[in-house]
Amino acid sequence: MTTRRAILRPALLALLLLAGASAVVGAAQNVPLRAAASKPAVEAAAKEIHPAFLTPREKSGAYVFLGWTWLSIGVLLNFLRLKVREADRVFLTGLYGIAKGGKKPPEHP
Amino acid sequence: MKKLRTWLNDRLGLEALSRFGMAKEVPQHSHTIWYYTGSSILFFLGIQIVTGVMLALYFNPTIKDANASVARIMTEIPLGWIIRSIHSWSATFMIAVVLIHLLSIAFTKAYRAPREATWMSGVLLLCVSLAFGFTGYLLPWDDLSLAATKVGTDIPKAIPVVGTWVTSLLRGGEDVTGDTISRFFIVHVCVLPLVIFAILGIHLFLVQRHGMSLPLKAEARGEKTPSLPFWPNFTLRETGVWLVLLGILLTVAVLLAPSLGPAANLMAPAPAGIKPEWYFLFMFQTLKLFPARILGINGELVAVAVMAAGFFLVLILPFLDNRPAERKGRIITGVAYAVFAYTIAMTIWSLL
Amino acid sequence: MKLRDSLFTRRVFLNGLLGGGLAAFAATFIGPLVRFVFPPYREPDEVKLASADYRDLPPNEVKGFAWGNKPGLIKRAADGSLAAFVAVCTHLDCNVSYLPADRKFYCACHKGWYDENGTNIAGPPPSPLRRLAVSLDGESLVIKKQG
Repeated sequence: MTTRRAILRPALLALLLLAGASAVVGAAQNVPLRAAASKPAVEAAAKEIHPAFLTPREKSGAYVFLGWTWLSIGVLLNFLRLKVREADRVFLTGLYGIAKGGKKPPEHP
Repeated sequence: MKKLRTWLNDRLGLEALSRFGMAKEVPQHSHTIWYYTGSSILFFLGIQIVTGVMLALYFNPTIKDANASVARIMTEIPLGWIIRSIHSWSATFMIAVVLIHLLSIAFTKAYRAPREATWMSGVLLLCVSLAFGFTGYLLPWDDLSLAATKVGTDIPKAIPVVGTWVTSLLRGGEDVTGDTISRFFIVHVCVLPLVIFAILGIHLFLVQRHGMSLPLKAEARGEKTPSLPFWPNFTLRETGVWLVLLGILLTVAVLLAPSLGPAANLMAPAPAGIKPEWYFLFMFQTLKLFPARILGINGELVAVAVMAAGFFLVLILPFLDNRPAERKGRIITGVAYAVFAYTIAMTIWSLL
Repeated sequence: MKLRDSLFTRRVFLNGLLGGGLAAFAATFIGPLVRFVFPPYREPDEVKLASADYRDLPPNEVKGFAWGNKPGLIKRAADGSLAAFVAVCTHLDCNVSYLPADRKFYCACHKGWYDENGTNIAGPPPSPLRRLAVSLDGESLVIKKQG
């Protein structure tokens, strides 16, 4: 269990960083293309405007970003779960707030 | 790092804040899930502020440029349509969670003494949220938003004596014109934020002052309900909820972005199939059904009177339901379910 | 100090005097502030249109014009006479359209119907469309408030 986690966590973290980096790079590459693709708004204002990706690259970039978001959320939720378990344990053992001089630990029965 | 913290603490007294967070307790029971709705509203409010400021960088609140500037946001500005989509969807989610928050409190009767003032400030916050939605709906200035605003601002006209006055206060004149856009814009981005922060401050202060409410059953048992500290145990769980909400919001915003209709024309007839925002649909359907005259009285006046009475009853609900555990309380619960069912039914009907 | 027959003390009286004075002073500002919020607008007494634009209007057809900030419709009846309406629904202020095939005015907001004379016949509208007086003055068509 512990060894598996020891491998899993850095691996997930690395994946997260990699995906994030690729999304950022993809977004950065979009900039010149997008400027070229923009059209005068006045021309389009006469009819209904449907939302659309300006370039194919932006489209794939957005979907990669969405995937990255959900992946990060999944990983972060896992981290949160670990942290919640620890915080609850600290509270249930009565050690909560001792560092701040709040509560006293319970007497051993 | 530690030095900086001590320095800050000596100046600002942050210790008190963390002591407060540790002392605040969140009870754990079968209705604990509703406690998360409050912070979810704050989350969406934060998103609204960020995306709202971004949209305002390019938006022009004038009759000539309002629609064109939104068109520019959607076609020229990098990722503009996504930002607009997030703002629009986050508004929808915020109102939805506000309604869930209100219903959960109504049906667990968490408004009972001493929390009446908390409930009333919450009802006012609902009104402010709806006002945000109503003023924001006009700003893209397309034919649908013009028609919805004409109807919405015309409803107060039915009020005796002051009605016409209220309508021209809202519109900036007898008709919806360019003055209405400027007015709605400044109310949307300045007046309402100030109001919502003031009332929200009072609301949150009252929530802290009275602590979390317990369900009737748990309170009747009298024993102490198990609880967790707000910081860090509950805050960590809330962070998880926020992350999931963020994911859902972004996904929906990218996949189902709103489009923009042609610029509104003050002289053109109303387009077919106009509909207000979904949270006003039940009123819209009710207005459609009301005949022109009811017992010789103007139908609109009756509709306005019913709506005003309904709002007032919701506002003073804690005082009506002052014996929640007894027969009176159960009758009020029944009525609340009936009203809820009516609203749902009317909303579905208007979508058919 | 309290006089024997006085209803309240000097302190309460002074508090009331000051508080009331401040409130009255503040109240005098409300009027000017409220006046600022309402821009001046007057409905036009009459609108002049070039009659040439409407000469070829076939019977049972309408053509729009601007009645101040509101849309107006000029309609030619079967007998050739012209009638002018303020094309705003009397229910909740939506702009109405004329459907020549049905010979009716229609409001899309809440499904309100008026017949070809502007009389409300179905749906929520409580009263007929507002009519305006049409007269010919040389080369111009003069639209005036009725009555």
